[in-house]
Amino acid sequence: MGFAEPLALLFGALYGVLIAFYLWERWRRRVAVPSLLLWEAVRDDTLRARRLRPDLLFVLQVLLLGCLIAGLAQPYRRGTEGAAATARRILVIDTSASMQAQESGGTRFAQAQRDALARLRAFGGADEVMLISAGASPEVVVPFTRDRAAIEQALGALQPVDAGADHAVAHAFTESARQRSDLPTTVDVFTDIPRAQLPAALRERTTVYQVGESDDNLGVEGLQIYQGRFQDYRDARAYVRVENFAHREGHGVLTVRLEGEIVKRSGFTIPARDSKGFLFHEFPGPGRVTAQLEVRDALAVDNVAHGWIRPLHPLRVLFVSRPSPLVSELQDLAAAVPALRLRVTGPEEYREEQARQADIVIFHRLVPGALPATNALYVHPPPENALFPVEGDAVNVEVLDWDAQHAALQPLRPLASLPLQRVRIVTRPPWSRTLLWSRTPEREFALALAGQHDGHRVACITFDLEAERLLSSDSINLFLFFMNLLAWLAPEQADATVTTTGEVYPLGQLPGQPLRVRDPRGVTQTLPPTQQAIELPLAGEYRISFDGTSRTVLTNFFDPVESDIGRASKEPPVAVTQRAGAARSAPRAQPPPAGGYRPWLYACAAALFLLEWAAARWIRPGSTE
Amino acid sequence: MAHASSGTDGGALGEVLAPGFLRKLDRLHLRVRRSLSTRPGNTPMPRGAQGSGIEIERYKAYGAGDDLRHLDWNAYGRLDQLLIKTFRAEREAPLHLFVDVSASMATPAADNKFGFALGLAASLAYVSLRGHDPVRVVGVGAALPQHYVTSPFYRHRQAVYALRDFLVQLRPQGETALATGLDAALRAHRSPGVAVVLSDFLVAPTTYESALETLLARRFTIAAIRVIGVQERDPTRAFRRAQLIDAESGHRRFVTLSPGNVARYERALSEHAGRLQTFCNRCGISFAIADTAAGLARCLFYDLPALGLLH
Repeated sequence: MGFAEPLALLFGALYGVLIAFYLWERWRRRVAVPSLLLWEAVRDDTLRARRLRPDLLFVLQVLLLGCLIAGLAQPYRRGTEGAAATARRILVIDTSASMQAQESGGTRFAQAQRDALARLRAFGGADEVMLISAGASPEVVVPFTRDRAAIEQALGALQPVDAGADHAVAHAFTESARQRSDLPTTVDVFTDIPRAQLPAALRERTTVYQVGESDDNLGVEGLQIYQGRFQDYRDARAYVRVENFAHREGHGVLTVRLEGEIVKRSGFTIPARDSKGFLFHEFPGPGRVTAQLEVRDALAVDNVAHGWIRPLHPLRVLFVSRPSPLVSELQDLAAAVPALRLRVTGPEEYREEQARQADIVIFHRLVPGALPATNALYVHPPPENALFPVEGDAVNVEVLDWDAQHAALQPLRPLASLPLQRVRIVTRPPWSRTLLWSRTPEREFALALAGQHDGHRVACITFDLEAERLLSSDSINLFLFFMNLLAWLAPEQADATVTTTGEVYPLGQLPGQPLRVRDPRGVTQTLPPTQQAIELPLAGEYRISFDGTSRTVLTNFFDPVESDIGRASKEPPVAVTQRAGAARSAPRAQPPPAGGYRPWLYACAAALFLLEWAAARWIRPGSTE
Repeated sequence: MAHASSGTDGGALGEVLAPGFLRKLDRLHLRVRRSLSTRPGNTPMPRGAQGSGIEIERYKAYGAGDDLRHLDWNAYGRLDQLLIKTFRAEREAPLHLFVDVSASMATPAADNKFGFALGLAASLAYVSLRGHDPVRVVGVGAALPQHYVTSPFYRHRQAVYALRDFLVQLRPQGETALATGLDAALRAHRSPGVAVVLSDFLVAPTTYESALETLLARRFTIAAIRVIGVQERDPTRAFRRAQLIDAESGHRRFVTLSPGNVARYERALSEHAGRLQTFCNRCGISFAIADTAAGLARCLFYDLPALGLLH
């Protein structure tokens, strides 16, 4: 036990004054009476007066004085670190996107800051305060400290992000802090989420200060650029979905820009709690597409969305095959797809230099002795090859199962019962995964394999495409599988990446370290060489640069839950009785409730005063001494 | 002998001796049920049968031992019989005013019990003097020499001022000495009469009973007047918690006037007065309680006539 204001204990000298006054008060009043004859029946207090035997009033006065002195001294129980705190306070500030909503008195976040500041200033001077921001990635902004200036500075520097809040993680932080604390710990959450909608665990142990009431919001909830792997910007289309989250009809104008130039403007009216889609095409070139709502609503962060139309990057394919109907089919395919540039060569003419100049090399019934230093697709490998050991052949088999998670198969319909005429049964190399399966009565075997080998993507189609009529309308799934497989083998190196806020962006593919990252607010930070990923909490354009090269990451705020800023009710803060989490494990006495000893001491003093007053009236009727 | 008096005492006496108040007192008479004494100058005789007087009551035949001064020689000349004239005796009712001059009579000062007692004594003395009855005032207290001080008998109405001078010299102090003081005073002046004891009687019952029995033994017509004040009735007017000091003995006692203690005090006060009254009733002593707050007039014109002491 310690005292935050030990000098206040000097007031203990008042006990001497109290005793002296008590004795003097007894002796000072002397009344002459005719005789003590009539007073013999009255209890004599002489012994009590001489021996200083305190009566009820004196005891109450001593206790009252003790409470006042103790309250001034601000007693506290010393923790394991010797801290002089009486309680620990955790302030959790919701920094989600909805906190940017404008209300009559400013943004919700500003209101939350004011509430938190007022709460902070109401804490006792010895209380330790922790500040946690509950955004997409909650973090402890300021650990437990009694430095009010630091807390206030950090609180003022907080800004809401353009993403949702992960209250569960924030609650985990608070629970962790509570469990480690040997002091009573309170948690105050400042958010626009009604208490009833918070996680139950968080709701039961926190005091929630809710802000915000408006539901006036129109938002772009989707911007989808439809551009196939082999399509250029002329075939690209943009689909924008606008949602009205308000409970009344919304009006506005949707403007679509390409690299800042207006492509299309569309006025719209959307009923309450409804959405509307807009389709845009015929873009004049590749580049960044921006869809912006021109509306006056409470939340601005969801009024803009970004997309990216890729420029045309032709896929160079070297097809190594003997004369075959498959050659002509692929040539017809290349003629129809502008982004596909096909070159055909025979096995005898094949040179490794040719492979280096191609993005993909397709070997038909051939596995060269020296594997190419590029991505490769092997179709129906020969019986004798080192890469895919052949165990046998099968004819007239069907696809029985497939790996629906692989990129080459994700968009396809079920491939079951796809008949295949000639199939090599190969042993799956350990670096590969099976994409398609079939089986004979004796065994199960792979129809397609894919994987990384020697730093390149390698795939194998064990059945003979020549026999399957790739471009036939009956083989549409097979054709799509083939094209997807080509796309997987030669992934496009996009100039820009479009993602949503709150996601983690991997940096592993970027050359060199360290990197400089400029966020949408124009703040540039240098990342350490060991950092492999960055969080994207803001909507807009991130530019990641290194030695003059850069790439763009466009982030959109697409979160209908956050954009739906209307709240059914605004609940007043409900104080929650806290308990020290560590008290369960600590053998020491349970500390006082939240607020420290001082308020309780003053409350006791007030109660004692009233009690003493009542006792004085009882002992001395008609007197309020 | 005590000296000096408070202004309050003088005030009470001044009120009594005011002409208007004296005119009111003129309407009062002292009622004496039995007596009493003969005029001074009579020589007590062994038989003591003949009283002195000037109004002939009857004649009786001479007997041995009769005073020959009362022999009617004219009747003997005419009738040749020795006849003795007897006279209606002229008896008087001496009034003895025993005033308690102990310190308790001056406590509490606000009650002015002593001043009230002096005023009452002066009033009764005036009534008695106006009825041609002698009056003396005896101060009784342990602080006095032989526990009493007495005035001479006053026999004329004009002597009331001399009596006042005697009264104003009395000063309450010391302990109560009712028994010893009365006994000593009566040993010096044996003539019986009407005895009025003015006191607060705040002594042990045996003490005041002994004193009153002394008077009874000497065939006094006795009236006991218990003087009391408002603060004595209700001590909460004076204090709530205090160190009480006995005005006579100096003994101290810490008392807190809780409701229970107040009830106990009031019960003790009531029991004290009740026991005194019971004793007086049993012994044929007139008893009255004179409240200083009610005033002299109420006591003289209401309480004492109701008691039968005045009419």
